[in-house]
Amino acid sequence: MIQVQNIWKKFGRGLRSNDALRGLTFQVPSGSAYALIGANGAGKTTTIKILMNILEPTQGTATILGVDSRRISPRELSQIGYVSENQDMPGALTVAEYLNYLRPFYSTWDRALEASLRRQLRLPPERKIRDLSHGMRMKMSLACALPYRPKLLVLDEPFSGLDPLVRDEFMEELLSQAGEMTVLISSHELGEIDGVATHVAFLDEGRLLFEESMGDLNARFREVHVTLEREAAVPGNVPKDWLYVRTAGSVLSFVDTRFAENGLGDRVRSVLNGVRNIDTEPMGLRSIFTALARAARAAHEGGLS
Amino acid sequence: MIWHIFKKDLRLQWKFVALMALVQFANLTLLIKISPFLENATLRNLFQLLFMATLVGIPFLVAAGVHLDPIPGVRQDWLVRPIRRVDLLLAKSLFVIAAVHVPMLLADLIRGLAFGFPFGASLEAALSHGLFVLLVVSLPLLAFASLTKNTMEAITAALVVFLAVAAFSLIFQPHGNASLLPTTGLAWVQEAAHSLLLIVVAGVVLFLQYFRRRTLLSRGVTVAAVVVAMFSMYLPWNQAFAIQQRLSSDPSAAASVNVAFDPAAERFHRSPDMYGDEERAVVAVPLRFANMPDGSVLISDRVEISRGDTGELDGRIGSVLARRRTGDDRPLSYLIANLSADLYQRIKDESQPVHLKLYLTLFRPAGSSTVPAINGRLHTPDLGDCATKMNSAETAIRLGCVPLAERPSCFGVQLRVPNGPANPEQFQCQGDYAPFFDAVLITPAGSQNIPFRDVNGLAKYPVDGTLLNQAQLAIHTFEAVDHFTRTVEIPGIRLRDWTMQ
Repeated sequence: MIQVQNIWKKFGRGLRSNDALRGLTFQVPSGSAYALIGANGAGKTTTIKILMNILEPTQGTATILGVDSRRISPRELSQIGYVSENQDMPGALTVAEYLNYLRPFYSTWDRALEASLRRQLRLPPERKIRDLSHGMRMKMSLACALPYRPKLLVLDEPFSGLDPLVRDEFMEELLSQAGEMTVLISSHELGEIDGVATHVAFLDEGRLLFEESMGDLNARFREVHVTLEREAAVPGNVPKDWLYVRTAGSVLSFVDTRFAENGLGDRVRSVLNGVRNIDTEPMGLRSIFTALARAARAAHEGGLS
Repeated sequence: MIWHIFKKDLRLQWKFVALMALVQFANLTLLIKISPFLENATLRNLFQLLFMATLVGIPFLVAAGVHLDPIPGVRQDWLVRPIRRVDLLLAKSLFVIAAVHVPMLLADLIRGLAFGFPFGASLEAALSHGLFVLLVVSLPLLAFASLTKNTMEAITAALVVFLAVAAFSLIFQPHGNASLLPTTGLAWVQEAAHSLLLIVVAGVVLFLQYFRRRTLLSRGVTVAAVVVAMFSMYLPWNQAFAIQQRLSSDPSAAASVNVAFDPAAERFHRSPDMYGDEERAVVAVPLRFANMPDGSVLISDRVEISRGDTGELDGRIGSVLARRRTGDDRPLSYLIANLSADLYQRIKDESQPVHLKLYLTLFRPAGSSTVPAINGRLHTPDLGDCATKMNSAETAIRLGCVPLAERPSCFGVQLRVPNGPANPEQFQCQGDYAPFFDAVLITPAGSQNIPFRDVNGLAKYPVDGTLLNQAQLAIHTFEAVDHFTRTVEIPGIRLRDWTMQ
């Protein structure tokens, strides 16, 4: 559905230039719900804008629905739904007027679905778009993206600034319409993605740190607590796949990024002596993201020093 | 989808569109009301006000239409919709045509009909005016607006361009042998060059913006075009005149015309409106013209004078106008030259050879008409709808004409009594050789004063106030047929001898 191959994006020139993306490569399989996660400024929005041909990559190629993103045409755009917090719709038009305006551009526009979305999302048809709140505008954006049943739905930070109630309504409607649709969603609201995404890619400063299915990710990340016979200390030879290593009394904790039920004991004992007990906890996406982000920051600071 | 996008734009901007249409029609009504004599000061001022409102409003209206779907930026919703770029561009063009040009076309058409021109001629003039404005004004405005996101950006960009052009004009004023086209009938050559540049650049920018979304590059192209346009002020005179010569409708008409200095001619007596001052001295050099076609008129578009071997008087000074009348085979005319007072004082007593180069245009009679001197009415294809009346001081007849497009740039008016006395013919012969009507907005034509009484009693007119009831105005129009150059070598001339008395 989407293939991104060694994409670079540079903003500005000379000394003030900034590489927003640095050789990004990933693939979004058809039918997946693919989450691009990363801190603010990681390059999520830039990636999406390149995919939508709103920005041109400095280097590399991106294909979307089998077409180079730079050659994306109305034919492809009629199969892509796009929802973004940074989307300027014509403020002087009312909700109904804008939906009326968009309808003829899409041959697959389903008026019944449009009506249902308007009802479900409680969009006031006579209200001007500029008079809508941020949350209502996001819902409006969703209502404009779903009625033509796109093959691909691109959501760029859709939950940003939404209160929990609106967020729930938004997600509810999105999930009810998702069907066979492929969804690419960028967010740092990991709690919302956790139950939705089938795949996740983690971006940091324009680089892809990893790309994985949620199943694999959940399987290989564990919070590990090792109880030792004596006061715990961080060993000098910490394996690379242990992140966020810290101690409290006789307990040493870390995030294991290569968790396997069978081999964990041996791997721990090869590093630590006097192991009395090992406990593991599954991790949520938020915790995984936090651990990775900390590790990335530490690596970056280490690189700088 | 062109029509669909256009309808959306019109729905969003209909109030502005209606307002501008109203302004255009109000302007038309005032134009009809104040023409041809422009006497009502209140209406005249109101016309000026609405004229300015039109000049300012049209760019804003074009920009408003374009900015409904701006090109620069990364947040516009239309970017992610299945909208063909060509459809968007055509929809915006349609908006400009509907919002600006349809009211303009109707106003032009109504104006033509209101002043008694036939429907076909009125429509033709309205269409050609509309096409000119579309290509030279609306298209560039559309392109310029496409470089900006909103009105504030557009105003700022326009201000920057304006200040840059103003600064350039102040710093790099044309000098020396550089062209001074704008003050001559060849001004259109520079205007045409600018217009062509505008059209080409507008086309390039619109392509880059709507099909490539390359705003930075487009802005660079625009800046480059502004620089080129500024340097086109230096369009060489000789090249411009060569173009004009190629466009002569009868290139051999002036083949046998000769010009020579006439030392035997009488010294020129200045009229009250011709005078020297502390800054300049006025010299009138008598020139005798031979072999001019019967009834023709010659005017100089430029005169270059150099003195001796020094070339000290080099420059574009003075002008000359000659008319061949029946019984006057070798009309005499004076080259009226303005010299700086310093230079004149230095050389006035020196006798030196002088070299004149005259760039001339020959006009042939194109038509003549008569109209009663008082409260007369006349309609001709070239002069348009004309009326006559006495001025308020009762010293002159006023002739006001409203042409369909532009009035002839050369015409003579004479007050006369049929088969009786006649006053000297008054010439309006400034030369404007533009092969197209190049007005952006139509302004009222000025009126002409033909005197019959001098309140100071210095001048006596054969046709005076007592004969006005029988008098008529004879109007002769002329058309430019040939552009050519002549040189005059004057072996020795002392300027003091030809200073105006």
